Amino acid sequence: MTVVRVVNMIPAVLTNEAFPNWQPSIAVNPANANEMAIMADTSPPGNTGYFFSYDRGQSWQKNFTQTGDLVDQSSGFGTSGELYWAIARSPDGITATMHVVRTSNPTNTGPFPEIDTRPNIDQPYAYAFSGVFGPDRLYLGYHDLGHMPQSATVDVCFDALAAVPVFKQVRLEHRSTSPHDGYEVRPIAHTDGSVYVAYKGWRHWDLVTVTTDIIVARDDDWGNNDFKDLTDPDTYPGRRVAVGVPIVDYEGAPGLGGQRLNNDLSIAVDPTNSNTVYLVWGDNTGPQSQYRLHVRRSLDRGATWLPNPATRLPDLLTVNNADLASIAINSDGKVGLMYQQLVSGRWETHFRRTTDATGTQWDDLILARTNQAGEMADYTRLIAVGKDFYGVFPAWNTPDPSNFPSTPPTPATPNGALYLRKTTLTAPWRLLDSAGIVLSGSVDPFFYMVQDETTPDPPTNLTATVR
Amino acid sequence: MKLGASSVTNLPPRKNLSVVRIAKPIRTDPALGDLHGKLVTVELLNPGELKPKQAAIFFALGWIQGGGIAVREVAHLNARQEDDVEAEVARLPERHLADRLADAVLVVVAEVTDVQPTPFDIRSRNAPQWAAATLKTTEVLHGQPRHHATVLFPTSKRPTWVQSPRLAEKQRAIFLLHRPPDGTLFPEPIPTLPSELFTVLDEADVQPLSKRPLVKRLLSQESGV
Repeated sequence: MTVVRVVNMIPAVLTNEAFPNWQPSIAVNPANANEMAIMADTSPPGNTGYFFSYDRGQSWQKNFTQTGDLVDQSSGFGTSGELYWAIARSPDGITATMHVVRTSNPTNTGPFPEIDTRPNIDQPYAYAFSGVFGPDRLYLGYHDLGHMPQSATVDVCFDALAAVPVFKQVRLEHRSTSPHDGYEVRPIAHTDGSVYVAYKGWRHWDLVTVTTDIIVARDDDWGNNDFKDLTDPDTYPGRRVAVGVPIVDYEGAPGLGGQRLNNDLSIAVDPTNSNTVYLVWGDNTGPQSQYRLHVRRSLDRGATWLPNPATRLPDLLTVNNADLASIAINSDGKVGLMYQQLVSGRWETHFRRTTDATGTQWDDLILARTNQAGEMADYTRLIAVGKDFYGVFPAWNTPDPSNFPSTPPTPATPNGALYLRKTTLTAPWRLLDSAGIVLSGSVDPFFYMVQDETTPDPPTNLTATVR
Repeated sequence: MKLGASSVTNLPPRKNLSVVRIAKPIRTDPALGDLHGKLVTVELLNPGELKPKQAAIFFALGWIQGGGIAVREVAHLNARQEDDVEAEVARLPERHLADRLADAVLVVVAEVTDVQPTPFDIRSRNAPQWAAATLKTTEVLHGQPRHHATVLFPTSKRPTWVQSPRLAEKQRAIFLLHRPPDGTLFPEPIPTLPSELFTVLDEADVQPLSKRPLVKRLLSQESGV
């Protein structure tokens, strides 16, 4: 039986915390899955930190290692267990610079050594390849405002643990764009050296709607071939999975539950077969131009994207009124999909898995059903380690057990989700500050784990391994 | 104070760590709540300088929050200087205002006569989404005399900009106007805007009229008058 764990990660000592926990990202150490890091913009001014767990997400601490403020963040563990962290920092608020740092000891006081820097970028996405053998390969996707309009870019590093790592900057876009490429540039790798990157090639923006292609590029040698190994029928590198899809994006756009649209691209490769790739994106092709998520699959390394064999419709799965999508595939080839959906005025966090090999049947776990909280994030992240899925989502933090349908309350978890911060333990459900006074709600990061039945439970009372 | 010890679950004791009990929180992270009487682990700069049970005032950066609290010492002072430190901490808002005044190119008493949005900036998710406010000045406290100024302020609700001032028509205040940051402010030139633009980005950049005496005093201190 699958075990679902949902944890409000704010530590007990931070029980007065009320920062907006902006766009969280997760990394799990493949060398020791009890260790994981979650980056989210929760820091007091002038400090940049991250959440870290030594016991597979059952307890968390916030580590501050870097000074300054951040606007974006993303992280990954390498095969070696090294933690890589891409931070976008914007001292003037106008232009952001990507700083990539690394550490083998997350409780170091910092600052961590910097190994890559790129000015004038947006939305860095760190993917550290975590296969069983080999060096730490690091891929950093970003929207390069210094290379407009063909801005989709990946930095490739074949040995991120080297004393002085070398990064190769690869421009992905080979077609005309206007006004530039999309914000999301998402790399993913397989142990056989296949590396896929999903990005959006914007073709037009009429001040209301972006018209974009959804593109998958591929490199069959870890990035040595500049992602030119998958060619579209138009002869350019990068297969266009969808052409000319509309996405509403302008100031005052209705959005979705207060969320700004146009940031839901995610890709996953099957660790058991690098030919199999899943992709999810969002666009305004739903009824009455609703925002809609599309899940599609290729079984031939991205060359063709097959329609649903049951319905003959293009999507394997379609979800209306949903965003913050992230997709991953576990070691059994099972696909996990996380998204948040507006349902009857409530903000639901769903986790779904394929239940057969066709990719057309999905189960559905509702991890949280909370109040709308306005704009919370551009992205979240889901990853698979072995058979298990690990993820993080932002949500309004009312500790009411009815908000967490997949984790019924127990004596140890009266709130349904495990809350580390102080709350009432019976109705009315309230957050409490350090003095026991009722605290106003805010957006918190929630860690979740969907644990395979064969995976041992997380350890208890586990503390740091001294390195 | 206990030397060579740790009160944090995932932080083993070592020579340069010390566990201290907070007798009086002077300035702390509000997210940590009331720290009075709490134990905190301090990474000391120079462990030999302090003795067990010695009281001191610590200036420290946050380090670990969870399973206890750990901080990194930046400096420490003798506990007898508590009053001086408290007075300086109380002056921090004023010092911040002085810093903003020192950086301002123009400080004016003015009324907002017009606010106009600028075209949506789609280049970056974190773009400020400027609005342009026209100020009619009634008094120039610092900088070149002028009757009008055009000032940009962010309208984005994202965390980077949430503390920035929002201006509204008929608003009367003291405005600390700064040069815009380097970089291209708009995706396309906006012909209706003047070439000289200012910004207000920090919440201290808009002061109520009642603060005029303080602003005047700080400006005179800055200029040495």
